[in-house]
Order: sequence, then C-alpha cells, then structure tokens
Amino acid sequence: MEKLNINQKTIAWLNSANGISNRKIEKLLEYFNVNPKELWDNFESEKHNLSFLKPEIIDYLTKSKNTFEEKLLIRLKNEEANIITVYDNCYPEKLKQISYAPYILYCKGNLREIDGISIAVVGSRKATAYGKWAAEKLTGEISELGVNIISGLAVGIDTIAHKTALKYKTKTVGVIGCGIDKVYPKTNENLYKEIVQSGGAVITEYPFGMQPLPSNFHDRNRIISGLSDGVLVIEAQERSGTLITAGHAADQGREIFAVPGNINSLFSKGTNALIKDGAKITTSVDDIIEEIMELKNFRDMAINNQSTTNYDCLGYDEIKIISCLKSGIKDVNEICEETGIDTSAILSLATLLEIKGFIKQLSGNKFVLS
Amino acid sequence: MIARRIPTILPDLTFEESLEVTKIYSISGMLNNKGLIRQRPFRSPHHTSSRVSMAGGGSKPSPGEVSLAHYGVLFLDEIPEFPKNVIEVLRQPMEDGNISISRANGSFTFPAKFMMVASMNPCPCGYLGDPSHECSCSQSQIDRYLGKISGPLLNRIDIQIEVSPVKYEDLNNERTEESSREIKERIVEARKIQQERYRGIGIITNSELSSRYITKFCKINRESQILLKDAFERLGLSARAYNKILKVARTIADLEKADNIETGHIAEAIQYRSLDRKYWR
Repeated sequence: MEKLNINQKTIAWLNSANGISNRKIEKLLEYFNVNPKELWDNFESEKHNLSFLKPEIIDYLTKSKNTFEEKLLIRLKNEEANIITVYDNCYPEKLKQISYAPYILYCKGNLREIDGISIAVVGSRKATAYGKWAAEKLTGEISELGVNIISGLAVGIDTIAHKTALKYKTKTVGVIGCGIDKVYPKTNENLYKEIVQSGGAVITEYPFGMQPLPSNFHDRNRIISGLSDGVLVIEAQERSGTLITAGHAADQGREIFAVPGNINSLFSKGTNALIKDGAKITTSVDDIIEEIMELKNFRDMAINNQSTTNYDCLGYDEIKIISCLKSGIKDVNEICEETGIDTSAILSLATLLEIKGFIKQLSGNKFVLS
Repeated sequence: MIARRIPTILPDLTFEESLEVTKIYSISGMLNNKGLIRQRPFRSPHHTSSRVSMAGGGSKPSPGEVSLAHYGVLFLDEIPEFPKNVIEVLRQPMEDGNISISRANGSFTFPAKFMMVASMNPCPCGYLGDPSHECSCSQSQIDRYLGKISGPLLNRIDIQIEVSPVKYEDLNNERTEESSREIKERIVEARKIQQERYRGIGIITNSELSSRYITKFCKINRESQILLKDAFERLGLSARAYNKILKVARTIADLEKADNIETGHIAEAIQYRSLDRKYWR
C-alpha cells in the first residue's frame, strides 16, 4: 500500500490504540456524525468531551496522530500485508451486513478475490478421531464444489478444514485472534504461508503486535461466521468457543449445519444440542446444498465424476474388512473379532486398502471407510 | 503390562550371554548369591532416575541401568516424563551396544546391548482424542509433552504402535490367545533363521543390519517397491522410516519362515510407524 486515504488513515489510527474496541470506535464515529474526516480534523478540539474513552487512550491517540501512518506503512510492507476498511469497495459485502462489523481488516493474501459462496468449518481444538474424519470428509465434499472455506487457523478441526481446502485447491480464509504479524499457534506457521500462497487470505481485525488474548477469539468468531453463508459445526463441547461461533451465525442469520455424533461423546454434546435447537443435521454435502440454493448451480458446474466405488479388484479378506467397516469406525481389535482375520493380516491388508484409497487410518489404530 | 511380558517371549540366554550378564550383576553387587543368571534381565527405572544411574558412573564407575539391562529389556514407562538429558544418554549405547565411562579413577567400558521398550500417552492427562473423557491439557502442555521425544530418538525406535484402551468385556473374555510359550517358539525359530543367514558377518538379529547389508538381505520385489513408494507419498511417512520398514518386514518374513520379503510383509511393517504419521496432531 502506498498511501492511505483519510478514511483508512482515521480508522487505522483509532484501531492502533491498544485497548480500543470495535464498539468504542463506533461510538467515537457516532460522536463525529459518522464522518471519519470530521473525527480526524476535530479530534484535538473535542477530546475533552470524549468521556467514554479512557484518558490513556486519548493520550495515546493524541501522541501518535502524526507518527503512526509512517510506522504502519513500513510494517505493512515488511509483513506484505494490507488493510481494508469498511469504507473501501473491496470490503467483503457479507461482513458489512453484520452488527459490529469490524471497521478494519489487516489482511495477508488476497481477500478481494474471495467471492462467491463461503462456508465456515469450525470445531473443537481437541477433536476426536471421528471429528477429524468428519471434518476432512465434509470439507472435501464442499471444496469440490469450489466453495471457499473459512475457519479460524486454530489446531484441531480448523487446521484440518484449511488443509483439506488447500488439498482440493479451493480458496480458504483464516481469521486469527491476534496481530497479523503474530503466528498463533506456532505449529501452523507453514499453514499460514500455504494459505496465502494458494490465493487465500489470513485476516484479523487486531492491530500489529496484538497478543492472542483469550477474549479476542470470542470477537474473532463473529468474523468467521460473518464472512460465510453457512457455518458447519463438526464437533463442539458444551459452552465452547465453537458454540459461540454458532451463536454469532444465528444472530447474523447464517445457516447453521451441525454434524451429529454419539450421545455419549463430550465433543458431540454441543453439536447435538445445536441440532435440537434447529440447526440443520448434516451428514453429507447434500444437506448443505439443500439449504443454500446457490450451491445447486455450483454443483451443476462441478464435474460430476462420482463413480460408484468398485470393489472388483479386491480379495475376499479385503472385502470382509470393508464390509466390517461399513458400520462405522473400528479399531484393529474390533475388526479382528468381527472378521476372524488375524491381526497381522489385517494390518497388512489395511495398508494396501489405504493406499488404494478405500479406507483411512485414524488416530488410535482405528480405521474408517473413505 | 505388555512390556513386562516381553522377557517371557525372548529366546533363552546362551551360556556365554549368561556369563556376561552375571558378571555385570556381580560387579554391581547385585547377585545376592544366586549364582548364574539364566533369565533375561528386565529393568524399568523410574522417570526420576538420573543420568548417572542410567549410564553408570560414580567415583569408581559402576554399571548403570543400560548395562544392567544387557541382553534384556530396558523399559521406560511414560518416556516423556523422563528428563531430556536422561533420554539422550541412551542414544550412544543404543547405537554401539556399549557405554564408556571415564572418571578420575579410570575409564571403563560396560556392555549395553538392550532392547528399549518405551510407553507414552497422547497427552499428559492421557485422554486426548477419547470421546468419553475430557482432555484437561492445554495445547502448550501437549506440545511440550510430545516435543520431549526428539527426532534422533524416534529414529532409533524400530516399532511404534498405538494401543487403544482395554474394554471391560475384554478383561475376562474366553478367547484363547497365543500363549507366551508358543510365541517364544516362533521367535526362537526366527532367530535360528537369522543366525544362519548372518553367519560370518558378526551380527545376530535384523535390527543390527547396516544399510549395506540391508540392500543385500532385504531385497524386495517390484510390487513391494511400488507399494513403498505409494506409502511414502500417500501416508506421509518420513524418510527415516525406510530402512526401519525393510528391517521389520524382514523380521515378519522370518517369523513366517518365508525366504523372501513379500508385499504383505512390507504392508504390515508400514503399520508399525504410527509416530511418523503424526495424525494425532
């Protein structure tokens, strides 16, 4: 970015003050008749009347008014990032409509080109084998339609959602809860880069240097749902961040899709509760297509190469294992008991079946049909 | 529990091996008038053990756990709980089969050819990925826990298996499993085949094969080569797994008394690299 226009400048300046929330910015703008230029010009003369701002924030804003722009531009250049404000044309249309839409987005990659239908895929950070499997399967199916995948770049389901989107070469956006210059969690550093390189984007509303504070993630979740047409909840515990995202989605009028799970699983308590409250029960991409009409066209456009799985090339024991897995995820011992094939043969056949693409291995020596 | 049973399926000590083990216990003053030791040792030091107790030492150096486990099993329960420097001490003896300790009073080399068996949980509380219990660990705790197992150490572990929790019904089920005695017989047979094969090159087991001998003794057919290539591409195995898979496949083939390594053997060996695949992340 070369130069900031007055709107961008004012918003970025306000946002750079540590401890000023999106709501405070809104209040401040309202005070100045929702006109950033007026705010910029008259801030000094009016600053003693701004009782809703803490004195230290007013101090900071006064001091930094003339110096912050240069610093910001250098940092943006170093990080190869840019900023988008609500006043810009390229600000995502869907996000503009939500209440408390972020005034500013710091963004790496190309948010402009993320258009069309987007689905958010969210879930627990400590997902079960079932959750991880479901995330990969459903994200894969959605990605094949060319839909953008939005998630939160956390570990667990988020990571799987982004990775699967990358695998299917669809665009993906990661919304983070810290400054754009920070990578949190560290383990996802490569994923950050891959998302940006693949034509997706990593975005945040927080200024440079902002730490990943727990409270940030609550607000971050509203952007995840705000950017999407529907939110797919894979696994969620009771009273979890994932359910907060679902709550935002409901407030914003987005479709909520929930993957059902076993009633004795802690990680499905949240999703099952969502279903009870009226979320769409989702077992395949068809359930999502049913609710989001535009996706029907996407589907027609996508090349329909769903051939029925062909088991002709498999041996007798391999078919036995596959039919055993038809009733769900099983571990080696269970397969062994049901089929009567001995363990070492099962392990050997499982590798072959996995390489041929019929089954997938999950953590804990469990297998599932792919 | 499984680890404690391992000595029961290992072949008996030969007379020479017996003497060596007895000597080590004798100089450590741990013989207790029992005479010749005929059972393979099983050592399971607690995770509070120090480096010296593991490697050996003292002003007059005496053998440590690695030497006391000579020709037997060194079992490290909950390996990530061990201090990192204690784990790293194991690397050199695992490679060389002995350990040299130098102190002011002299320098000693103790034999330390042991089978290392280690166990760990997916996270400190043990419930990560379990649908019926909540895992109470923070992400950084989990990362720190898994990070204790360094790459070079993983490099030296031939077989890695994930075990699911035992269900109550399985504790008293009636199914007859292969007994230790039967397993031992198969292992003794396989060892005989290996002794025969490696006569004159100074090694006894497949695990000792160097890369030069791997190309000689672990030949695989074209089909298996394709399988391995696919496995590396599609299953996310790391390169260091390659030789391990070949050696383990050789052992599986020996246990089945097969002369050549078949595709099925390779396919089974691939399953024993679960830590490489990191899918619990």
